Amino acid sequence: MRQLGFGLGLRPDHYDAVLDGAHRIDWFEVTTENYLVPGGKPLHYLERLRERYPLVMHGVSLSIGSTAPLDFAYLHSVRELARRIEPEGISDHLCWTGVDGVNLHDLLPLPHTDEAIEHVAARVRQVQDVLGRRIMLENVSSYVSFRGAQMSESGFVAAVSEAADCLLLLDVNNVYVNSVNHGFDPVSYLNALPVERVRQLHLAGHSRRGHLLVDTHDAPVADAVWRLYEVAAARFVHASTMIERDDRIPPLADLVDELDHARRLAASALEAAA
Amino acid sequence: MTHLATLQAQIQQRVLRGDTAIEPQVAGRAQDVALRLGIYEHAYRARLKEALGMAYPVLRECLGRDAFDAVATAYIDSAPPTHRSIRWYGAALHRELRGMHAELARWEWLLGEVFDAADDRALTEADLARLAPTDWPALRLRLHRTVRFCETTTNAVACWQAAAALVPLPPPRDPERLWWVVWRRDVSTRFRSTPLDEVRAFMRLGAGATFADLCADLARDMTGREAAMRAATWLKRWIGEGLIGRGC
Ligand SMILES: [Fe+2]
Repeated sequence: MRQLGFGLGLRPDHYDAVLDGAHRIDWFEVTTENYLVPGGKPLHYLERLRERYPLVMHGVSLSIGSTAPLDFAYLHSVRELARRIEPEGISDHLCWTGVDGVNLHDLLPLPHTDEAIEHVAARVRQVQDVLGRRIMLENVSSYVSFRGAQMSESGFVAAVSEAADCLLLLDVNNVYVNSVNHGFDPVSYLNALPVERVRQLHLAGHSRRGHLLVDTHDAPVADAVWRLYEVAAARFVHASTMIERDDRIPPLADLVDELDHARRLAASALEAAA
Repeated sequence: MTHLATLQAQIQQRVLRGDTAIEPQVAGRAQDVALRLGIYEHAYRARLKEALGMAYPVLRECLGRDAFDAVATAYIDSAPPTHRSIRWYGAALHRELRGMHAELARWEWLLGEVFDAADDRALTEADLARLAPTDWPALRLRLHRTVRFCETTTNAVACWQAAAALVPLPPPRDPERLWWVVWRRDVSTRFRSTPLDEVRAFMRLGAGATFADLCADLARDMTGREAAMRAATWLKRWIGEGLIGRGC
């Protein structure tokens, strides 16, 4: 995926505000499943938006790590939507969402094992064949880790991307959340990922539950995450940035201000690195 | 089963029904493990409840938060989601309900279906004006692809309208059978009640009837001239409302 600059996640609350006037937003990420519908308002707005902005499709139901069979009907509908809106990129999560015909609608963690790497990589290759392009996989927030791990999370993410020859969507908030939940150094995590493959960065807010952090996307980006973002922006120079907000959604102007903050941090981080 | 498949089955059983088999696989002290797994168990139910609340906003309002929560919990326990998109979760929620609330649930789900049903073009007066009078009898009309029908015996729709307009709900009413036609015009959803003979006419159109067939049906209860007048009046109204699809 090419460098698109600074974008936002498209939310139905903002449809009219987005289409009404010009904004300092370079591109939009859209949740794929929201547009896998026969017709009506969602697709109507999506096509209007596509006339004015580059779009990236971000899925939540690929379930790339599941041991259930790949859902080709779903994949074909994703390909159909991609034909219709010609997105700059297509992404989903490095996780699984269910087995036995159930979709739990949650991004469940994988064990960091060679078995999981092999399993995911084989499926990514099949998905990329169907879609006719490389996909981006996103690191997820997690609250459990499994006994018998053979490597760190960053080692797992890097190994999957190499074995599958796919791209990465690095969620900086998820790295920070996991660094607290599982006790690792988030900067070393970033340094372990292949620069060439990271094409997009996610920023989002989280909340605290006891001694754990939960990826709730219901608050502004936290200070600690901004600090980590400065490191990421200096390292992953091919990556486009976007802010995710899914709950307690503020007016569009507030998110544009937050995005301006990301622009300023990225500019100075790049300058300092040069 | 591979190690990965076993692990996933155990996590899913934990999320769906609190099974403990996964616990020894999770790193950490026992109490901490339960807390960590609890985040997934909680998130699963919270997310589905939120989705049901979005699909059934008026029902939630009518039942009140607590009663809606109880209905949602019962439904979630009986029907884990199987669709790729959470938008399709909750189609059978009405089975957890009785009377007006069950009809309200069916009604809100139907509105959701019409909201993002396949796009279609509507036949216009101008299209019809291009027809020669001799073409009329063989004219085969089809319903706009967004059209759905619904039958009520309670005042569920009146309650829905009151809630949508933010005015107090009307009191329960004696049972009365009503038919509704629901459709979409561009991106806005429309509906109206419809008499039984018109519903029958819609059903006939769905089965491929021509304009002459509609007239013949009506002519069983009135003169041929009255039947033709009635059918023409309907057609004019249907076209004005955007109920008839253009092309095949
Ligand atoms: Fe993310």
